[in-house]
Amino acid sequence: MELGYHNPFSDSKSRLRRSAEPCTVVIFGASGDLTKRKLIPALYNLARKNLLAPGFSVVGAGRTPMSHDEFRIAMQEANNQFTDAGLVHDIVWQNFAAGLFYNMIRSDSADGYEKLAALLDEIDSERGTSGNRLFYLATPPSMFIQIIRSLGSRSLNRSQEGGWTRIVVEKPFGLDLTSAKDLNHELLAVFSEDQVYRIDHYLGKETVQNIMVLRFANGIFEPLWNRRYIDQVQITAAESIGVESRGEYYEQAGALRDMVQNHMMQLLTLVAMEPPVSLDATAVRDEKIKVVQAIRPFAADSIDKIAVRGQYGRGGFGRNINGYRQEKNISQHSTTETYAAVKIFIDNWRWATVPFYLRSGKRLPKRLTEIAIKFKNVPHLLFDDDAGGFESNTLALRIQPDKGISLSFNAKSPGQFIDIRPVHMDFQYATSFVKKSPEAYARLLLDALLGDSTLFARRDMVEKTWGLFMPILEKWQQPTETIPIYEPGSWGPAEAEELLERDGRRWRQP
Amino acid sequence: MREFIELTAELDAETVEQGWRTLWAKQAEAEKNEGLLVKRSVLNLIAVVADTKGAEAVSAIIPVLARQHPGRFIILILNPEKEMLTRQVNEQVQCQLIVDCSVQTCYEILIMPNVPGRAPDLPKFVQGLLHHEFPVVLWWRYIFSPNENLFNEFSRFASRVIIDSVSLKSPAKGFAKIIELNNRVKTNNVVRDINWARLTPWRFALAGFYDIPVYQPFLSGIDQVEIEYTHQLSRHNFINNSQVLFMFGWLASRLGWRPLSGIIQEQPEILHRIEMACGGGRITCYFRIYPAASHREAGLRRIILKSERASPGWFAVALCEDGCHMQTQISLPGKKTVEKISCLEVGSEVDIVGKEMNVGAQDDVYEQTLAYLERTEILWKPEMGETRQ
Repeated sequence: MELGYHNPFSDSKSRLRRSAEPCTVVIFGASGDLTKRKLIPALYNLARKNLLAPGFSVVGAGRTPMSHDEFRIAMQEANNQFTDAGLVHDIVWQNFAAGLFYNMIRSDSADGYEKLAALLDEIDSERGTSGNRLFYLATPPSMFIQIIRSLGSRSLNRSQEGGWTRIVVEKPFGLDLTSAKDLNHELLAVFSEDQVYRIDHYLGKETVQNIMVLRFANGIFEPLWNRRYIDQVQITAAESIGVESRGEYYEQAGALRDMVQNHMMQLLTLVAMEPPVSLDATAVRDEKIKVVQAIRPFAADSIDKIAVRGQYGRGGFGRNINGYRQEKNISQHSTTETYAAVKIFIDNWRWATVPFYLRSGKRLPKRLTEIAIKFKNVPHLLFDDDAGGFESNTLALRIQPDKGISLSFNAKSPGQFIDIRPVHMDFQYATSFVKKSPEAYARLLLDALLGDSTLFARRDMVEKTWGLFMPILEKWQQPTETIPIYEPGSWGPAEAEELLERDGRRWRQP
Repeated sequence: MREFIELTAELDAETVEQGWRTLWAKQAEAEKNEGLLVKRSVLNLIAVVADTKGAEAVSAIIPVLARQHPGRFIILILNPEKEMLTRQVNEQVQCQLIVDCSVQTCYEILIMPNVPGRAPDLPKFVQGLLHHEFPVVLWWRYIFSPNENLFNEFSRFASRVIIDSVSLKSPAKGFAKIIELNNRVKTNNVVRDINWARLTPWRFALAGFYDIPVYQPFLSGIDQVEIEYTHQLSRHNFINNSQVLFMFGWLASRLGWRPLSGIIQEQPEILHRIEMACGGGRITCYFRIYPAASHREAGLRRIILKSERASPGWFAVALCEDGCHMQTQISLPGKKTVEKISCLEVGSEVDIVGKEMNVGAQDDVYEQTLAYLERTEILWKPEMGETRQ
């Protein structure tokens, strides 16, 4: 019987997921934090859930001399530390570890890449990985270009056996427009665009699907999803923690680069996009880029009116915790922002005049990511001013920590008088008996292994969003600029409140 | 917080509703938020159980189910213990309002026995208690006979029906019944089978082979299949081979196999064989049976797809010794055998039921599998059907 390429068991209603082809993942930066804390636990969990093919292999590439066995021991320790204890099954780990290998690569040595190529061929032969390779750049960004050039010079960018080769680049993708363009140029000199997977954010496919289903599977929302009925959109990505161990990176990045330019722009595009013609990666990404193209550019002379930044100080939360400048690897005179808020307008027929307020920060009162759609008030209020706590309707999409949707509307309190109070209809996605949602890295890795680029950024999106935020970055980098300090546990600097108060609005306090 | 209320009046829907309203009012008064209590409801669940033990088992998992599916839960005990029958019906009804303070889950429960004489009224009584704007899920946690009429009555107004075909005395007759029910309820309803859902890890593992392009030339040359299993005991000590039949029917229906023979006993109680045609080729399917020392051991052990003639190779999925993990192996010509170990994630009863309650669509693959088994008459062969131990 001829099967062709179609899987005869593939059927959307059978609810069977696709599993990844046998392949080798080469992790550059194998001895680094990201590999231990995220990548290996994510791959182990994919193996545990039977989502990887037999023969799946990992090659750790790093500067530290190490044998295969030493690497396996180190990764087992990392996995035990960073995977939930109840999920660590020795029998699964032993089988997974049989596919772990290590190859030392020093930046000044061509030998390392020759040995890597030989090792990959050997793995293909021994473990049936069929020439499929995924290169994962988990090193500091300063090493990306050298690795890319080395892979190209040794023809590792194309599989010899007819398999596929892909490369995953961790965020941040550049630190500004120039560096992002340079990195793209180097990547595309060696790889084609369809081989490149840029991690831009950690939104899971489930979140993306949740938003798309809410918008496009419900007849009641889409007619209201425009400037006629929506007053404003607020997108918040708040963390209660500080920079912790990421000081060295964060000092170069700041909140705008770390969260706003990528993660929050993804959320904005999902809310503002037109319905795509299909759910495939290209169609969705095409609609998202159109939103970015319609965003009104920030004028250099009016940055202070549309963008606010801040830095958390000492104290807060009832304790004397370190301010940002007291954190490890942070300069005492640092002007890196740990809070950023921006007002954005999308100049198209759907969204003209509707402000999108984005804010992200560390050491805020709680960990929360949400999109709040605030609707316009009724044109004429029948009820007396003393009728009570009247509020405009708000549809809030909670992204984390508890995914869900809530709609607030006004209702009358029981009693003789008209006493109005807001009430909430609330829906939660998370349940206690359904398994926890797959962790973000596991999802992203699996998608890269499956060749699904929906969650990864395209070249044009990356460069366009960098170009958008360059005026703000340039303004904030000027030496004359001072940075407001905010108290940890507050919702940011006073200037952030003023950003909305000027428009007669105020921030939500979720 | 948990409240109970004893219904002293004659049992009818309004009396039960009043009982619930009283409980809600008491709950609201106890709330700190000025007597405002948010009550959420998304569905009705009617759980039909055999006895008090079944009712207790279902009651224990309702708080978990209700976290995702807050609503109204009605548990009916079809074979109540004798002492329950001698009491007044109204003393045996409990109206429970449980609010889980940690997650703001709330639901209503009614547990009642099926008292002889009242049975003809039971569906009507229950129907009167339902929130009609929400889906009605019937969880038939019971065998199909002898109360088949009751099942038919309830399934008429249920939008989702959850059964467990492992409880069938005879898959041969039970599957035919499910097919008949599926066709009857199909226009408005969805039938979900927990027994089929338990096979998802096996189906996923086997289907995964076909996701890999490099394996497909070998898979297209499959000419031998082996399904190994241990006796699966149903509650009534009949050998229930439903899972074996499901896996065979699924493979055969999706891969286009046609039976050329009936079941052939190679060795009684140990090895059966059936010859199949596939395109221009032939496939021999073996069923190897092992005795189970206990109920816990019953079920599938290993499934192997082999290509012996054309390009030799094999693909196997097996249950590990510990019963909690699966081993997948692939052997291709000129290559070393590769394998992987993964967790067997079947899920508990509450996991499976909760998921099945979520799904609003028919499972066409399940229906096609049943239809295939019926068409090929494999169901009617006593060797594969009912055998009393």
